[in-house]
Amino acid sequence: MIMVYAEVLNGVISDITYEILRKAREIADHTEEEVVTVVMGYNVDLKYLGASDRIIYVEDERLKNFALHRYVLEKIIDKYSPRIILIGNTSIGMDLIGGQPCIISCYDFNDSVKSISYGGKVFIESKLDRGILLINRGSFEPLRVEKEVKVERLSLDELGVKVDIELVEIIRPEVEDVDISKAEIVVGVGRGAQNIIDVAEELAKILNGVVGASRPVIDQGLLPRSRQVGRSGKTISPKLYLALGISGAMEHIEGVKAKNVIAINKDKNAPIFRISRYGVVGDVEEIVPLLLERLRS
Amino acid sequence: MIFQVLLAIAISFVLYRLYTAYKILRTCRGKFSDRLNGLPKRILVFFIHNITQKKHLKSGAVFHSFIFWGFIIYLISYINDPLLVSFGYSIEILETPGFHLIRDLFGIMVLIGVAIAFFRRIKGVEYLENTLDAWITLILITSVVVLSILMSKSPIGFKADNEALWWAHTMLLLFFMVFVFYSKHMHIFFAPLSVLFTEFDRLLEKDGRYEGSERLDEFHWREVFNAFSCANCGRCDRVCPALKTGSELSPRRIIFKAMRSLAFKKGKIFDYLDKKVIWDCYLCLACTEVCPSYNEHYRIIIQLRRKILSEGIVDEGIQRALININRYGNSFGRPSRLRFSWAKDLGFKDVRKDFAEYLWYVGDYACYHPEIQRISRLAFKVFKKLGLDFGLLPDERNAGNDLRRVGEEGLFELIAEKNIKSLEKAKFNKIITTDPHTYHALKEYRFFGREFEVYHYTQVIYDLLKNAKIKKLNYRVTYHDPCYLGRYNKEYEMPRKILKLLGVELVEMKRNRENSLCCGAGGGGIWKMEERKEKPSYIRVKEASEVADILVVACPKDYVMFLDAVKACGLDLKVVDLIELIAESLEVNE
Amino acid sequence: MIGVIVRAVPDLVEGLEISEREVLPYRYMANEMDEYAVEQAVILKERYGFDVDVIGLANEEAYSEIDDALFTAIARGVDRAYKIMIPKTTSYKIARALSDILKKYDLILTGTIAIDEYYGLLSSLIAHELKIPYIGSVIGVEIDGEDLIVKKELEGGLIGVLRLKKPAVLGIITSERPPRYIPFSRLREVMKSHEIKEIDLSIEEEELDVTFKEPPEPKVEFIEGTADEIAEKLAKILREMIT
Repeated sequence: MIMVYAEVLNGVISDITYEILRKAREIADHTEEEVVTVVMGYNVDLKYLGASDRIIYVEDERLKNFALHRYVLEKIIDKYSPRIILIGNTSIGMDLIGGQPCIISCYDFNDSVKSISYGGKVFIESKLDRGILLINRGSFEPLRVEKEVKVERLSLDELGVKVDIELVEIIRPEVEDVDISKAEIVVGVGRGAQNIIDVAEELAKILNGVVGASRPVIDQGLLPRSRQVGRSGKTISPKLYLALGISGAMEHIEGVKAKNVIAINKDKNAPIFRISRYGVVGDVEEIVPLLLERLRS
Repeated sequence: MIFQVLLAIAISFVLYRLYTAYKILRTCRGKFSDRLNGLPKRILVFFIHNITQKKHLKSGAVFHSFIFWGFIIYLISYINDPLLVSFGYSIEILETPGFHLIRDLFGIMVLIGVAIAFFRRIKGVEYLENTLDAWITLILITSVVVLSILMSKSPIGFKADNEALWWAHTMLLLFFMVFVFYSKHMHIFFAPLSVLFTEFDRLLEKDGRYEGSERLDEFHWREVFNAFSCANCGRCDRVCPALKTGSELSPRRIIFKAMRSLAFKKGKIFDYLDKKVIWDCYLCLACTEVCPSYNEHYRIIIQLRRKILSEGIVDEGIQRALININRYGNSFGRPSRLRFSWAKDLGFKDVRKDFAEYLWYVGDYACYHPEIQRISRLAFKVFKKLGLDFGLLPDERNAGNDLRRVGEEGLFELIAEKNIKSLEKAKFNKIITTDPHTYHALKEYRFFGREFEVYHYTQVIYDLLKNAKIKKLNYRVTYHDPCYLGRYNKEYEMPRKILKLLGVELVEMKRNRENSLCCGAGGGGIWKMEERKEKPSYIRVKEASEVADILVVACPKDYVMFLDAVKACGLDLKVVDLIELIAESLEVNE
Repeated sequence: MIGVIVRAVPDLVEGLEISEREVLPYRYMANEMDEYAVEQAVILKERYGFDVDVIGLANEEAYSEIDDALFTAIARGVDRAYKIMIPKTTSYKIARALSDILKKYDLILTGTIAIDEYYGLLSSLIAHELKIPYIGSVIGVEIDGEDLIVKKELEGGLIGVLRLKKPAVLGIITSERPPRYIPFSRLREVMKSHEIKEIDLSIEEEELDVTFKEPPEPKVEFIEGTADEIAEKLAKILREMIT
């Protein structure tokens, strides 16, 4: 059995679940296993989980609190003994591991599991007989299928999960000025370009796009959090992503699903070039103003 | 009789004030003998600099010299009358019409000086505070001199023999004497002494104050002495590059307001000073260089930096650079093994294995900054063409200059010790460097374990150049004196001599040599993440473009700062390192 | 009492030698998220008066290099420092071996993930061994009586606020304020006046069956030339791409 954990936030199943389902479906069709999707939450719309063979739904208001999911999952794994459990490599996903054997930051798996570590500098191939795989966002294309699937309901009380953790609230970021996740063209500002944010904004304007930023720039308060691109920020899927002074750490790249990436960075070994169509090894502060000039004329 | 009583009272006020100053200085660290080394030289400097008013004339304060010289003559005169005369004695020669004439002439000079001083204050001069005590002093000087001319027995004096006048004159004098010591004019007494206690060079000794100073007993007495000898003239503020670019940092306020308040009111210096502004300083020494009272502002600023660094108050960019230098031996955070990747194909001598006359200590910027690597390669080839016997030290680390200037004294000591260890194992006679920051730091190593013979490359290759085949260059250039070659180490001429050899036409900017305007990279300026909109380098390149087409620099940081400034200001000015000109002249290619 | 775990990890700047069966770093340093965990612990000490221990984990090559990070932790305010040598093994075995000595802490902080972790997450495994709650991706911690109020970073910039009881393990991503700079003179004083106690733990060794590879060569096309030439070519590409 291949078990897929459906990540639910505010009652909505996250994209990554559908990405994982695609791969799960592919493997299961090959190995003739069952794909069982586990959903925990309340009033969750299961409409698009059609790629699963079966859905296990633990519906309870208390399960709006994702901190309890670890314990519920433990019980479910005990009960159903899946061969492989697929979870998104996200903040919520990483909390679920418990004591299970687990490989982190996977980008593909067939007979062997392919994952990334050492800040993106080492690619690893390993074998996991039984256990959890944390799958990176953007590893697969999402697979949404609208199909009726057998739903098995479990009761939280019956599972016997008694944990004293309360979800007090979920804080939203400041009022969104711009939703970068819907933009066609994004100009990304990284540490190397944080001194020319105004130039980047001009560039974005001329290209009819928006400005996003990597985590370090956001952490310094140079741009609002709504502009953060990455694992703990937004996922963008523009036609074009212009990455300025961005190194391309795993955390950031997971949020980038662009058709074309053009990157400018001082370091020729920056991981961002691995996902770029075009690259420039140079000083953003020097090149971008010149580029802006050229585009203006 | 009355006069003696009044004199006694006045003198006791003065003595009490001096005693207070003495007690304050005793509270401080250090012994008076710290600044009494080389006493004969000091005494010579004391007389020559004070009497010739060298620094005042250089900064254009002729009027002050007039007043000062007049003061000397009047002082001599007053020793006789009223002082000795009131005890029934008299020095004949000082009563003669001849001497009175001399005194009157100086008096007129004083009045001219005072008139100029009045005029300045009325017109308003940048950073000159128009305080009540300044006006009172000028009025007092005027009245005293006028009265003395009235009573003068000289051919041009009025020979008035009025007792009322005498008393008026004497009372004003006594009042002036006391007033001087209780106002900013105590500098009259302390500034000349400041000259006696001056620094001979700008190499900072090891003082063990790793966490800096903020209370009176933590500062060295010479640092507090600055507050007594400061005349609140504002010249330091006028030349400060930070102030010119919108900072709140005022060297004058640090000395005259903060340090003075600390001395008299105790507490911590940050009760009188904002911590944040301390990071705006570039440690360029313009303030110290121009100060006519021989104050040493930079030594205080370094103590303040050490203190706030120890409290963790530091710009993020500077913090990053410190961590990088500690871990990787360079401020860029690049791998230490790649330090000499720029020289790999040039085939260099490794002084750990083979002896070379000169060890070329290259420096971070020259090794890791892509623009400067090109210049380093040129320098390498130039040295080879001139037949210089040199080698490199593969485990070279950042020499630590800017660690000291940002207040990380402990880390500087660690790095100095590590570097000295590497240097002691290497085989060379002298050190040569193309980086002024490195030049200065290596010279300071004498306080940390070992004195090396260190030269800036211009000091070594001049003779070699003279004997080489040179193509004359037909350019019109101007030269920017780097802080660490110029003001810190007084090397102004060698680069100019080389330029002359190369045949270029050298046009000086108005602010040249010790008046050079810092590019803004020093004191951690080039590492800082938080930056102001305007930078000193912008002002400097504009100044350069007014006199020449080419700006010649002799420091990698200058090169980087000015290159950026030229772009930011949209100027046509070409920034060129002296090495590039030398290379062109020797027909050495990249 | 708070226990903070700091791990020695490869220094990625100095580089790695990657061969099929092993990854050899040139140098080691403290895991960045663990350093944030130390800072967060110090913040809690300042706010609520906790006692804080730091425990360093390092393999043989990094065993002396971890000292710097541990002394720095003390200079930041940590009360005691320990270190443990880790053999070639998995996070699972480490967590099991640590469980005894970690029992005494009300709160255990460490980085959510170490940069060289790929099999298991130590932070989560420790909680599993001690049978106490685990919250990862934590960016802020407060105490309210007996309860912990924890801020957890979620996707899309959202922040979850959770209330739970001690004892617990928190995986820190970043501290509420950046770690304060410790001048070297302070560090040197700490080195002279403090000692790092070594703890001898017998940890089972385990070798994993994995192969390592360099990242694949990027298929990127590099644009070269002077800044002007590059700007020219880029402008052309951009114009083509957006029409």
